[in-house]
Amino acid sequence: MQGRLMAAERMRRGRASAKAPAGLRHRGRALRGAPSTPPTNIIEAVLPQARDVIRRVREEDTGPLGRLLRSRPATRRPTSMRRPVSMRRMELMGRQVLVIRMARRRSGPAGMRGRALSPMPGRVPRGLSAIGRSRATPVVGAALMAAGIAVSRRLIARSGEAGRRDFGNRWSMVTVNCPPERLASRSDLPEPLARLGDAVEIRVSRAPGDRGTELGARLLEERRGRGGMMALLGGEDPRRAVRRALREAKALIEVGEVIRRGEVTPERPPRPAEKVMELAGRRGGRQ
Amino acid sequence: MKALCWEGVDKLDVQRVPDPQIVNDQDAIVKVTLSTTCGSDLHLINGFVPTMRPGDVMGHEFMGEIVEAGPGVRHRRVGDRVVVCSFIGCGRCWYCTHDQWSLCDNSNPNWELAQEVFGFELGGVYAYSHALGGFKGSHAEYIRVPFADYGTFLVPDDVDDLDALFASDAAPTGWMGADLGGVQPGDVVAVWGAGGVGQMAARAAELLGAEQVIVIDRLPERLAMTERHTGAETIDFSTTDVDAELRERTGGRGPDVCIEAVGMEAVGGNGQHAAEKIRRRLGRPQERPIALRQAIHACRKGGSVFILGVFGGSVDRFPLGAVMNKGMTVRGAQQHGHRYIPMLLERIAAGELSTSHLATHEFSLEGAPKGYQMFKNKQDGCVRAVFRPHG
Ligand SMILES: NC(=O)c1ccc[n+]([C@@H]2O[C@H](COP(=O)([O-])OP(=O)(O)OC[C@H]3O[C@@H](n4cnc5c(N)ncnc54)[C@H](O)[C@@H]3O)[C@@H](O)[C@H]2O)c1
Ligand SMILES: [Zn+2]
Ligand SMILES: [Zn+2]
Repeated sequence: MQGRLMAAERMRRGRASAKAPAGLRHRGRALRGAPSTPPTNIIEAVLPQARDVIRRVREEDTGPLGRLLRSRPATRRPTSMRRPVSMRRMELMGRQVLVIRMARRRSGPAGMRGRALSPMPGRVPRGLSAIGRSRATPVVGAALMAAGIAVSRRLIARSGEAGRRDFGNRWSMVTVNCPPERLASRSDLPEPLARLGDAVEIRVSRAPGDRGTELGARLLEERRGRGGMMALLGGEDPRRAVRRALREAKALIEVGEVIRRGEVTPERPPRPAEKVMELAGRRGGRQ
Repeated sequence: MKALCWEGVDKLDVQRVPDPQIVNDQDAIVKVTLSTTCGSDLHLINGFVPTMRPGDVMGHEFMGEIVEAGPGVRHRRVGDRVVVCSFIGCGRCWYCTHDQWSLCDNSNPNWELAQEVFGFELGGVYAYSHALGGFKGSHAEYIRVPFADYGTFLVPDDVDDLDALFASDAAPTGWMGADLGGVQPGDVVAVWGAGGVGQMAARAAELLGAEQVIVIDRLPERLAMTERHTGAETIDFSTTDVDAELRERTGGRGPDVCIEAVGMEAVGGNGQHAAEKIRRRLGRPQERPIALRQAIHACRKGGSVFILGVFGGSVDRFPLGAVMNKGMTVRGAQQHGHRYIPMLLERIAAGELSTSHLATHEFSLEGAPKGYQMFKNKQDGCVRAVFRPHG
């Protein structure tokens, strides 16, 4: 009886969620679509929750990802037949890449694997799979990301965890080791934040205990993701720019300078084989 | 200048690299007198630590002389003889002001990268991957030292270079394990690993009042060295049932505090080593918490385990049941060196703490790849290989 109920439940939820890890179920459901339609826009297909961000990238991003998206028709419905198991942003051949691991495919045209996912061939470079191990077939979705699109960070940071993804206009927060009076008025804000002007709202409050002062910033609703902000920031993702500005403001208040990397580029660009070695050892704390 | 560079897994090379420069006002440039190998470097060499890039200069345990100070440096002058903490701390964020220096909020320029890995970033450290700041290391003629007022420590005249060197990393790390592991007078303390870090932890435990300290390793020369330079007893895990031996030596209670100073490349277990070799060849090494598991199992009820050995990601078969059911405390940290270094230099000067015996082998910079080979393979009793970039 129990078994039949569960089977019925599986039927109701659809094939895609039958074996999905708990945290991924809602995603699997959203991904159910007409398997006969080949995906026209892979990124949308695998990241239904990120549609908002992807729309903005399509409209505003001047980098390679924006161009890629604009070159394809926008789809309304997710069409992938497979469910993503994990997503991670990483650097590959010097570019930011979104690596999407897909569940083992059950049916469908053989040629789709590579095509479905991207400008890059669908084989995982060896060593890449070291970043995550599961029963799923590793497939690289190499959405070439214009460096630092916030969505990937958010998704990746929480991939594999239970809970909803949300893309609301959250406050970015830092806690500064100073008394609240140090940040009493807007004119007290250090340059990196001041530069964002009235594109952001600012919030200041005393932190609990001896922890200092909580300083928050977020893009004003009406300025969110619109052209003006991107232009102001030279094409950088605005939310990331806000986070960085906060971080730098904190450093300036606490220590009077923002630590710089200095010279980090190797004298010669790494050869591809070395790059793979770099990635080979790469493991996160969450797999 | 010349520097020893990481060129890939198992590949080190001495190369010409640009001289370091003052990048931030509070930076200093230190001319490296002595720089040494650390067990942590082996994790880099063996490919366990992500975000290394070919051309990265190695080395984080060092001392030398200040040859240039940025305009924001107040308390150090050109000519000062200093030992430098391997972690970089700003001295003014909440973590630094609460003596948790390796968690500094302001010293890791690659914080975004590190947040992806651990949720929150930790502070910067020299030559320990780009997720931890991407700073150039000390196996070089010169090195840039950010927040120099906080990260450099004047070496007292009666402490010589070689003694001061290990106040950079091994000694404060070991001390932290005993201190934050909660060693109390009268305690029984067991330390896994008789490398530089384990030996320093053992001595720290004694100085903090432990009544009995037991160090576990399999290398006879290291065990002998430990007995000679600290007051500790030893156990050879390759010939002894460690669990049974500890029980017998502790009246059936188990140690009060266990300090793990081995890290993710522990040896032991059945056939683990062969499997590991294959994994490494495939470019996917797996962390081996063998000593950590043993420590958790051997520890007394309600005892504490401090993890000094470095781990990077997730481990297999972590004995969570023992931790929970035995009411244990498990902690770990990268070293909060700034908190201990002045005190350690005083103790070294007073003859309470011996450090220079760790320097078993010395090389020029050109000899550094050889030095690492010996250190890695524990050849000829090598405990720490020390490099003199200026001969
Ligand atoms: N937390 C920190 O800030 C910090 C600082 C420095 C070093 N470390 C870490 O501490 C660890 C030790 O450093 P080190 O420089 O002494 O390294 P090391 O390689 O010189 O010494 C490690 C010792 O552990 C022994 N060992 C291996 N497997 C063992 C086992 N199963 N049981 C007992 N002993 C075992 C080895 O024989 C060796 O003597 C490394 O993981 C290193 O990365 C941490
Ligand atoms: Zn070290
Ligand atoms: Zn700090």
